[in-house]
Amino acid sequence: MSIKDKIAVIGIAQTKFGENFDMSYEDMAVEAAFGAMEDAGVGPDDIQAVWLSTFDPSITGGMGRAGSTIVDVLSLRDRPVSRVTNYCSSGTDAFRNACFAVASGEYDVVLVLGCEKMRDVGSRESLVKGAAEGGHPVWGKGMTAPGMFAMRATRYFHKYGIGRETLAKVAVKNHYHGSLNPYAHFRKEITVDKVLKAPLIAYPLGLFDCTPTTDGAAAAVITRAENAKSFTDEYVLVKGLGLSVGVGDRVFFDPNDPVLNFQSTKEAAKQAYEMAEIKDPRKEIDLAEVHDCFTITEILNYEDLGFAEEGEGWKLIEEGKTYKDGEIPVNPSGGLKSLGHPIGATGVRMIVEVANHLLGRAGDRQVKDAKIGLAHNLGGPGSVATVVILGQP
Amino acid sequence: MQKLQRGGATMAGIKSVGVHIPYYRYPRSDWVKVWGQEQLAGIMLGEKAVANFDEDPVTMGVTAALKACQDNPAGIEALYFASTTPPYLEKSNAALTACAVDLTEDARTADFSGTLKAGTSALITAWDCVRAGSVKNAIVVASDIRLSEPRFYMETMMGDCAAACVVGEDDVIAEIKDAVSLNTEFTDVWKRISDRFLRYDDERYSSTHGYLKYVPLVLKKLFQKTGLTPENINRIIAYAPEGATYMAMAKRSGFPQLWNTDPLLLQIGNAGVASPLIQLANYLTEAKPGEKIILVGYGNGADAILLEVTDRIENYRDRIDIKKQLEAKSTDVTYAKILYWRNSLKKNVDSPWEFQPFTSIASIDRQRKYIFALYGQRCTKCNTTYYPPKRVCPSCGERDSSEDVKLSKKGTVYSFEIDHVFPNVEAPTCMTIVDLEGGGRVLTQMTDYKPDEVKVGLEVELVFRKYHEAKGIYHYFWKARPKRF
Repeated sequence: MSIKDKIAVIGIAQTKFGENFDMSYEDMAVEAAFGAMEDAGVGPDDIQAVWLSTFDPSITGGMGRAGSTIVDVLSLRDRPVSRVTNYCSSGTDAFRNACFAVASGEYDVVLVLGCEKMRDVGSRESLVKGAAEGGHPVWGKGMTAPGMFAMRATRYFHKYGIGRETLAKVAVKNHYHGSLNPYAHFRKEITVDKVLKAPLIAYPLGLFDCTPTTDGAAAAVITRAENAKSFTDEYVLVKGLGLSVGVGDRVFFDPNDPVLNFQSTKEAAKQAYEMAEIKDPRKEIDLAEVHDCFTITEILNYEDLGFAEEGEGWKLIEEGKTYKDGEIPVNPSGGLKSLGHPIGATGVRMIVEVANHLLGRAGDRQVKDAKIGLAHNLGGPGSVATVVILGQP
Repeated sequence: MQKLQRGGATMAGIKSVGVHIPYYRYPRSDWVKVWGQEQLAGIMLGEKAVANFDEDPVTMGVTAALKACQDNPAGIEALYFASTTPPYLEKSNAALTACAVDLTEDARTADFSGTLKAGTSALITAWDCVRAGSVKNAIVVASDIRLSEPRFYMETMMGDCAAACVVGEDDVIAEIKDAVSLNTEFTDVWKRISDRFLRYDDERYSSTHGYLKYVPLVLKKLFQKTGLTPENINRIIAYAPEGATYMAMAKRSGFPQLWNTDPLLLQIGNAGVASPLIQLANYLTEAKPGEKIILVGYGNGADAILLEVTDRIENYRDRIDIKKQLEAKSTDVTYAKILYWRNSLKKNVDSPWEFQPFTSIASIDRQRKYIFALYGQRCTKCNTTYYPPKRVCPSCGERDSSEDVKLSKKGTVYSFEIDHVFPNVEAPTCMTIVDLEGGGRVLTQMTDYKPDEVKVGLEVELVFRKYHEAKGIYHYFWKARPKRF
C-alpha cells in the first residue's frame, strides 16, 4: 500500500519562532494546536489521537516528556497520545506516524503538534549543557551539534576546494527569505562579509553559519483524503513519506564513514520519491524546506536530496539557483537559519510552510506555481532523516 | 682501570628510560615583569616547563612510562609510582598508571610519596625486587607538578615533568651496582593535606642543614660501602633545587668537577621527584660505556645509587628523545594561564569544569581496557579494526566475531573542527577524527597544538590526558598531539 494521496492535511498553524520569553510551553502549544484545529474547522472533541513532538523535556520542567503533556496543556483527555523523539526529525517523524495511523483506518482526525521551549533557560543550558553532560563519560566528549557539521565542512572544503565564503551565501539567502517571513526569529538581511567576520562557533562555522536557539510550536490536523472536503476546500495531500536511520552517536569512530554526505537523507528521500513517483527531484519539486541547521548542511542536503550531483551542491548556492524565485527554491521560509530551530517543532513547521505555499498563503515569500513541495529533517546528526512530500490535490 | 661491563643474566639495572616534558615553557623573565621584581632578574633565567591544563602527574607518568617500555609492557611485573603531588591521596595512582600502560592485574603496584626522594627510593625498591627475583621487570615512574604560592619566587623555580625507567636483569644499559640511603626527620619544604601550596621556613637553614648536609653524607656512605673514591666516579647526578644551591652543593662536595653540568634547571626547572631520573635520561644520551654514575635523591635524608653504564648504551641512546622534547616547545603561555590551569584562580565553582558530565563507574569499569589501554576490536570475519568495541561488527554485521586488539597510538587527522562553545577548561576545543596506523578510528580532542597547525593529513600521536572531572573523579582518555619528531 502506498501512502500517496491517502492523507490530507486539512489544518495548519504555527506560532512566531523566536525567543518567546512571554510565552510558556503551554502558551505556544495552545496557539499552534487550536490554530490548526480552527483552520481545519474541527474542535477538540473531533481529535481522536495526537502525536506530540518535543525533543528536550528536561529544560521545560518535564513538559513534552510523554503523551500526558497534551492533557496538561490542551486539556485533551482520554484519547491516545504518543510522544515521538528522534532528534531533529521528531516533528516529521510524529507526522509520519500520524499519517500511517490515519491511513490504517483506525483514526479519522488526528492532531500533530510539535512544541519546543528552549529559552526558559540560558542558551548554554540547553544544547551546550547537553553536549557537555550527555553521552558516554569520555568517548566523543567535546563534540557539539555545530562541531558535528563543522567536521563535515572541513572534509568538504578539503575535497572540493571551496571555503567559508560559499557557506556564507547560504546564510545570506536564508536571512533574505527570513526578512520576508513574519514568523522568523531573525528578520534582517545580512551580507557575506558580516558572516565571515562574525565570531567562530566551531571552525569553520561561525555565528551566522548556525541556527540560533529558539522557541516555537507548529501543528497540523490530518484526515483521510476522501474525507477532506467535508472539512475544508483548502487542503493538501501527502504524496510521500520517508524515514531512515543511518549512522549513530559514534559516527566519527566508524572507519567506513566518509564524514561528508548523509546516507540517511538519501534513503529517506528515496522512499519518499518512490511513493510520490518522483523521478527527477530537481525538476519536479517546486520548493523544498530542508534542514539547514548549519550552512554546510544545506549544501549537503542539495546533493543528498538529488537536487545536485554529489560534490556539486556548492554550485547551486554559488549560482543563486535556490532562491525563492530560482530554479529550485530551497528554504523560502528562511530555513532553520532565520526561523530558528525549536527542535521538536521544526519538522511540523516545515510541513505547515510547504502547505502554505501549495495553498498560495505564503505572502511575500510565496514560491510561484507551487504544486509539489518537500520537507526534510536531519537529526542527530545524520542518524535520522525524514522526508515528507506534499502536493496539491 | 675500568672494566667494561657486558649485559648478562646476572646484572640488575636500568634497561630503558622514558621522559615526558610538557610542551609549554614559561620564561622566568616574564614573572619578573608580572610582579615588578626586577631585583630578582638575575636568578630568573631560562624557562620552566608547565603542564597543560589537561595534564597531571599521572598523565605525565603514563607518557614517560610508555616511552620507557616502547608501548610494550610484556614482562613488566611491577609499577612503582613516585610523586609528591599525586592526583589522588586514596586511590592508587600506580594502579591507574599501570592500567594505561596495560600491565596485567598480577602486577605489583605501589604509590611512593611523602618526600622528594620518593623517585630514587622507588628505584632502589625496584632494584631490590628484581634482584630478589620477586619480579622479572619493574617500571619506576617519577612525576611531579609542585605548586608554590603565587608571588613567591619559588613558584617559577618548579618545573613539571615525568621520568620513568624499566629495571630488570637482561639487556641493561646501566647496571645498578649498589645503593645506600639516609633518612632524617627534618622540615625544610613541606605540605600537609590541608595545604594547597608548599611551605618553606628558613631557606638558608634548610639548605645548610638539609641539602648541603645530607647529600655529602650519603655520598660518603656510598663511598664507604663500596670502597670507591671520587676518582672512580665519572658523574654525579643529583636532585637540583635551583641554580645557586646546586652550585653550592657541588662545591661543598669537594669534587665539583664530577657534578652534572646540566641539571636542566634552565629548560625544565626543579623537577621534584623526577629530577634525578630525568637528568640521568639526559646524561645517558651522551654517556660512554663503563662510566660510573652516582644518582642522588634528596628529601628527608638522601639516596645514593651507584650505576655503571654498559656497552648496550651505544645502541640504545638514540631512543632517548629528551633532547627533541626539550626543543619541541611553545612559550605561548602566560602567568595568568598557569594560575588558571593549576586552578589557583578563585571561581564560584570548585571544579574547573562548570558542568557535570554524565558518568558511571560501572560503565567505565566494564570498558576499562578500551578506555585506559586503548584496546579496540578486530572482526575475524571481515578483518575490520574498529573502536569502540561493539558486539555487532559495524562493517559486516557479524555478531560477537571480534577479538580485542591493542590499537596503535600513532595516526593521521582525517578531519577536525575547532569548537569555541564547548565548556572546556581551555577554549577552543579542537575535535579531531584520527585514523590510527593498523586500523581503528578515534574521535578525540587535540592537545599541545597551535590552531593553524591542524590540517587534514596531520600526523599525530595519542597521549594520555585528563578530559574532565565528574563526580569528583578524574576522567582520563587519549588525546591527539601533533607529531613533532
